[in-house]
Amino acid sequence: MSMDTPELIDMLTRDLRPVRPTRAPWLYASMWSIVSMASVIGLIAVLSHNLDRLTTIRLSRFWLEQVAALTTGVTAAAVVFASVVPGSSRRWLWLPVVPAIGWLAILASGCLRDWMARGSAGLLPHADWPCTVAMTLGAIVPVATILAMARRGAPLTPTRTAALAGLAGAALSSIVACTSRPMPHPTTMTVAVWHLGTLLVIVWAAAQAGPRALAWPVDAELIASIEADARQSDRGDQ
Amino acid sequence: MAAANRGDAEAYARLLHALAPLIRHIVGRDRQFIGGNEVEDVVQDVLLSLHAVRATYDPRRPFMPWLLAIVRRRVVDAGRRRMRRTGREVPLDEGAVTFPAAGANLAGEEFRQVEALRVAIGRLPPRQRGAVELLKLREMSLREAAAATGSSVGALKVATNRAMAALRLLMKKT
Repeated sequence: MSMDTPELIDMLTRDLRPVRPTRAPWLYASMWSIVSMASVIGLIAVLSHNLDRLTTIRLSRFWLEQVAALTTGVTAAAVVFASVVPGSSRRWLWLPVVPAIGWLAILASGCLRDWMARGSAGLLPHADWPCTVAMTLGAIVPVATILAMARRGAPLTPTRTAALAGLAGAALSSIVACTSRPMPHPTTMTVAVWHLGTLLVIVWAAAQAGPRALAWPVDAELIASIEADARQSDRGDQ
Repeated sequence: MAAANRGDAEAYARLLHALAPLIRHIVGRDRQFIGGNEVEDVVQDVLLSLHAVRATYDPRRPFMPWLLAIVRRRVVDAGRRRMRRTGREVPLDEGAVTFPAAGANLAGEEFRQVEALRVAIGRLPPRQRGAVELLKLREMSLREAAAATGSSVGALKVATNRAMAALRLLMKKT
């Protein structure tokens, strides 16, 4: 930069306008949850072959799994919004770990139950491309929304923040995949392998996009005025 | 900072002027990582970033952790930028520059000497020229040169001595 630091400070403070402080992370997480749940419910309605099937499901494990996925998604979203606030505690990062462990534990207990009931056949992961497609479709709106909202903050750890955004979106989209299918999954291992596999791919893809999606905000007016000043001083030198 | 966020330009200016030396000090501690010449650029980068995300400051929370998180991040970004830049650069020796002044053209002078030597070697009698070419230019040993020409080692030594004396004379004339 060719400008002196005191000159830059003068430019930053000139025509200073008041700014509205960003809200608490949990508030943004709630707003995101409302938007994302609306998209999830809409997608379930579009993709579902038989919505009545949901009313007949009595398996508490199935609903617990969905609650764990939802909690993982919402807590990951809260961490995303906390991670773009400079100086916020890193302990927040552990928040989604608790529901994620609960989610994995429910899947593990399902696998154990299948194994006890059907032996090794109960542990076979069946091909489940429809779930992958449903999860990918279901993650688009939540991930795009959370990244757009997080851009208001400071991208201190863009890759990690975007990965968590991917986790938040993928966890919610897992609900789409589980509830929109016409038949229950043949084995819990199918859910574990295909849902968690797709989730990891979405997290990885979001992390890759992080540095581009969460760049430091640029005040276009300010940059234009700095460039105009630089041009003016160049002309003065000549 | 809270006053600045309410639009108080004077308070903001006072804060930024007070912060600049502190930020320079913190950034300067990592000058090896970011490059010595880049410190002031990173300080300005920090100020621009701080300005861009000033809405994230919560007056109910301490200011310094907020500031330090931004400074640390921008220092890391600057260091990474530098690593990427230097990773793609290949350091080159200074290229030869020709100036109109004769004293500045030493490289050219050396080249002219080489040309003169080549001409002088060409003017030597065939026997002496062969000895110089084999022993001095191709850097053969006396035995190898003797085997290549079929003459004796002694004869080659004599031819080389005479050739060197003749070359000295020829080079003085040029």
